[in-house]
Amino acid sequence: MPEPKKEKTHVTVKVQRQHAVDVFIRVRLDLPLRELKLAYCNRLGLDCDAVRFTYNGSRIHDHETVSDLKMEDGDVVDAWYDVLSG
Amino acid sequence: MGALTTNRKRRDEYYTLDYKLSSSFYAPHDDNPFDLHISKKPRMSPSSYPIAGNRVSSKSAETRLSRVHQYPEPVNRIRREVHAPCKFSKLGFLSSSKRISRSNEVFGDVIGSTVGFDHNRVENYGVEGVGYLRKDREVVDVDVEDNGNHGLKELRIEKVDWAKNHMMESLGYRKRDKEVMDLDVEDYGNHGLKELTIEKVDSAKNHAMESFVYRKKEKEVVDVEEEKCRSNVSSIEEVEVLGDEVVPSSQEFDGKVVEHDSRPSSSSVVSELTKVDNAGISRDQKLEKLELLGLPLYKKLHQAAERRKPKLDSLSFEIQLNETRRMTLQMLHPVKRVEEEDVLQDALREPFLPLTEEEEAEVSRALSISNRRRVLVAHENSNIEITGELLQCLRPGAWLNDEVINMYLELLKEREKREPKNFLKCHFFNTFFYKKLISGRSGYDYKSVRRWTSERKLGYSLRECDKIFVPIHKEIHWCLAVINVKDQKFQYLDSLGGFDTHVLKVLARYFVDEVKDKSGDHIDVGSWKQEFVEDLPEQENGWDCGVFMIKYADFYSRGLGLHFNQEHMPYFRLRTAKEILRLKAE
Repeated sequence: MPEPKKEKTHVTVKVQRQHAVDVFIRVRLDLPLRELKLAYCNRLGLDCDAVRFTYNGSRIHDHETVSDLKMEDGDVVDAWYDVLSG
Repeated sequence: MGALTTNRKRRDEYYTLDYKLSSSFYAPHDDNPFDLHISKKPRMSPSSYPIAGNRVSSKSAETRLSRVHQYPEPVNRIRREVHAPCKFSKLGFLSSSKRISRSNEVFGDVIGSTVGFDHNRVENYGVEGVGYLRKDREVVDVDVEDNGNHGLKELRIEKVDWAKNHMMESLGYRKRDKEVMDLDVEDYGNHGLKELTIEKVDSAKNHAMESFVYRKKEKEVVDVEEEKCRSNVSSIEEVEVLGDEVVPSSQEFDGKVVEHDSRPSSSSVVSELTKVDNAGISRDQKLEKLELLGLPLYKKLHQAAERRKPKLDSLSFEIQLNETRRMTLQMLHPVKRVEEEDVLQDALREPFLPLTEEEEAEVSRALSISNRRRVLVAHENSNIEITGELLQCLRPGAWLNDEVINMYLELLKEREKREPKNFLKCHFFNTFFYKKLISGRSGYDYKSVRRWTSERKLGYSLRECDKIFVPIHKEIHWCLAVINVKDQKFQYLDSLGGFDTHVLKVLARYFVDEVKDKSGDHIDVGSWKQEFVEDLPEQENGWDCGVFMIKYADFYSRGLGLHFNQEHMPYFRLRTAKEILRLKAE
């Protein structure tokens, strides 16, 4: 039996935020992206409720996974703070 | 002593501030600040009622409620002063009896029918009436008791009475004046001259109230007198002489005023009066002075204002008239454009459709503080969740949150998908787009947003759209940029009237890159116009820019002009809240 091809189990995404350093996070494919959010916020000491994450301009839901969004290595996830203006 | 002074202080307050209350409350203190507060009140009241009632009836007869409100308070005050002693005539008669005796002396002279004196007296009475507004009925009673057979005095006093009533009531009282005159003629026909003088006092008072247009009116009065009392004609010259003679007597009276009037302003009253005498101003002016000086400042001001009232009334009437005229003319005029306007009106009805009560209740519930932590709605497609806290930004005066804006723009897109016939084909970028587009190392970075608009994701390409809306966030301000593919122009809408050429340049570049990337075509936008929309509704405060921005998008996506303004913002806030709560933009 041929050895099964080694499947990719993780992707590394870049989390970008305005006026902040980019953060690279390695995520398992089936991991809910809530974990990614928490990891990012914990690392930077942010309030997770106050930060929104988008991928290609769309909001990332907590339960979505990397494979759901068909993310690839080096893809950018954007983190945003609330903006209030008048 | 301390108690006494405080009491006095309080009484002063009553005088100056709260005359209505004082009329019922301070009276007992007048005699004796410490005494019989309760027992006296009922005794006071019966005598005070008839006059009050009298006044009221005359008011209603004349339907001059406003006027009545100006006058009662000096009446009350004076009535009290005289009144109190009169009430206890058996015990504390002193002050009033003094006054009566004084009047008796004068009357004695009067009976000698020195016309001048007579007139002076009456004048004094008149002045007293004006300045003090004593309780007339009481005086009459006393007089009758003391000198019952002096019909003349009764006449006088009644006259003074009348005069005061006139004072209180109105300017247009002349008619009644004359009635009185007739009565007097019947009763005391032989005292025509005196009546004449008395009537002069009456009229003089009226004049004082009206204005300084005295001379002319006096003549009129005198004329009337002549007609009415032909049998007793004493020449008009005499009357006028009387008028002159009054000057010294009224000076005397000034002194009296000072004696009687213990208010601090009395000295100034005297000085002013003597000045007036010296100046030789006519008697009526003096009367008016006296009257006005006897009144508190606010009263004077009120009278002055009242004098201006007819003019204002007539002006407001004119305004009304012209307004109605204009309306009728307008109704006649624009028959031509009715059809166009009807279409426009129909189109404009929907964007301003009022919320139902139910919807308003729902919105206000959602905006309440208690819902802050709750997730009120979650939009499946965009994965946006709106909590009560986020929705708070739709309360009046709050800055709009980008989350709410994004949600609303999503709803606008869904609306268009739902009813493609009624709306232009649009694409609404979210608030992150422009920021991302310009956040590259060298500013513009197409690659970072290249995948935002993949056809697989959107289901259409931007090139097919009529309009592409790009919210622009500028530090603390929301603007809207529009790539108007249909009309081949880039538009920039700033509710504060600002403009930013950089935004339009970036968007032009983006659009070229986008078309090239998605379809491989190269389009030239060099001929496209860059428009900074100027005739747009602008915000008049520092917090509605977000609402303006989403409404620009709303109206443009309907293909309508921007037919709204600042006034509509509270409604738009409610409406937006409702639409977000229902996840459906209408």
